[in-house]
Amino acid sequence: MNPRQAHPGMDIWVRFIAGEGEGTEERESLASHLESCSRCTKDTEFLQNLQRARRVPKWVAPPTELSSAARRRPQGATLPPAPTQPRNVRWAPADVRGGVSTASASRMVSRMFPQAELGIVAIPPEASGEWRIEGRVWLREADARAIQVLLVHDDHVIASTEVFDGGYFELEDVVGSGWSLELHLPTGETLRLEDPDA
Amino acid sequence: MSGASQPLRDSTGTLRSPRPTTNRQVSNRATPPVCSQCPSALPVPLTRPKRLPSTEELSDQKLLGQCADGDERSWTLLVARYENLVYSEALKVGLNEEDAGDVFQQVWLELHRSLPRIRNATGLPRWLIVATRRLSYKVAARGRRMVPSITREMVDPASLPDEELQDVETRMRLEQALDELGGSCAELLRMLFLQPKKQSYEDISDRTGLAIGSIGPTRSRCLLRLRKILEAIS
Repeated sequence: MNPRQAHPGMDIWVRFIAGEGEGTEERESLASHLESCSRCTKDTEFLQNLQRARRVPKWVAPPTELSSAARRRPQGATLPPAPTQPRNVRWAPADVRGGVSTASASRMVSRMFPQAELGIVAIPPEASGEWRIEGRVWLREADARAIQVLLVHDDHVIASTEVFDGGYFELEDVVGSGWSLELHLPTGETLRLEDPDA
Repeated sequence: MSGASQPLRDSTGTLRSPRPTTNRQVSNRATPPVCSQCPSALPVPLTRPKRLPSTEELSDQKLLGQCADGDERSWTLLVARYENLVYSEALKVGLNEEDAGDVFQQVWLELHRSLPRIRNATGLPRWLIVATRRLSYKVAARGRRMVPSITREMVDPASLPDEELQDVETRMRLEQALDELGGSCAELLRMLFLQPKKQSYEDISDRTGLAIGSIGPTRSRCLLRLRKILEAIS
């Protein structure tokens, strides 16, 4: 390396990363320089990242009509953020005597809270791989506002629905282990039921 | 070198997609369409937008925040940035075009529903891939499609290989930086680094009008500019 190449230029490193000059003295000199030069190590890491990007399979653009539809913001109610202090509710084995569920692994919740009373059944996936969660929520004090019911996994809201006082809801969706069901009451309180199998 | 300052040839609109019967085309962000009339399947020259907003203005963090506040334009920009990734992922797992289209639509609905609770904006590519894989499984299962590559484990976010995800994130950042770089530099670097097959200097010279001897120095200057942008993004 001559003095002007105290820090070889980007073009030299491009050829180096591409494996050019295998076995030559120049390449050995570059490799030796690289071992002790953090600046050039950054250069080569940057170039290796470029090479890495090439490994990603060719991306395909969606059909124009799909793209146009997706780029229009969906309409619908804005959902509440993740609750900071949800009240966790425990499931119990389903009571099959009432004919609520025949699935042996189903879980149910039937409890009263100061704000609401719940009657909810969670039926685990069979062949379709979908959980089915259904039930009713009764508010202790009449309120015309809706209760938002969310099926959540990490920061994904898998499904959501609204139900009014005493109304029936049903959610059915594919969701991984560790999901939770959130009931956002009009009062602002959130009741949360976690995946009974997790 | 004199060729270093020579502008790249502007050949916008000179070639057309090789598949005129369908409105689906190869992404103009990831890999340009291939010209069937050219001797060695050269990519179609890209039409660059007039000017994209800066990277800072376009960061996922800002876009997500503005989307959560109901901003239409931010939503459009966010979908435009990731739509190729989502659609390609649905096809990659083995869905046909119709089912991939269903999944594509459902992913954006899920993102919209989830806006108030996405805390880690830098993980948005991962978020989208996780949603795409789960919804692909759901669509295949509901339609009773027998797709060997679609398995129940795709529902589990942990099944996503880290290395694959890192490659995608690297590619996303690179695409974002190239968009900001724009112009002839971005076009040259796309040819040099993003084509699945390596391009020869002769091909690049033919496409860009650069003398073969000036490709190297031009590439160096463009790479330095790109790196600055990438550092700003990171």
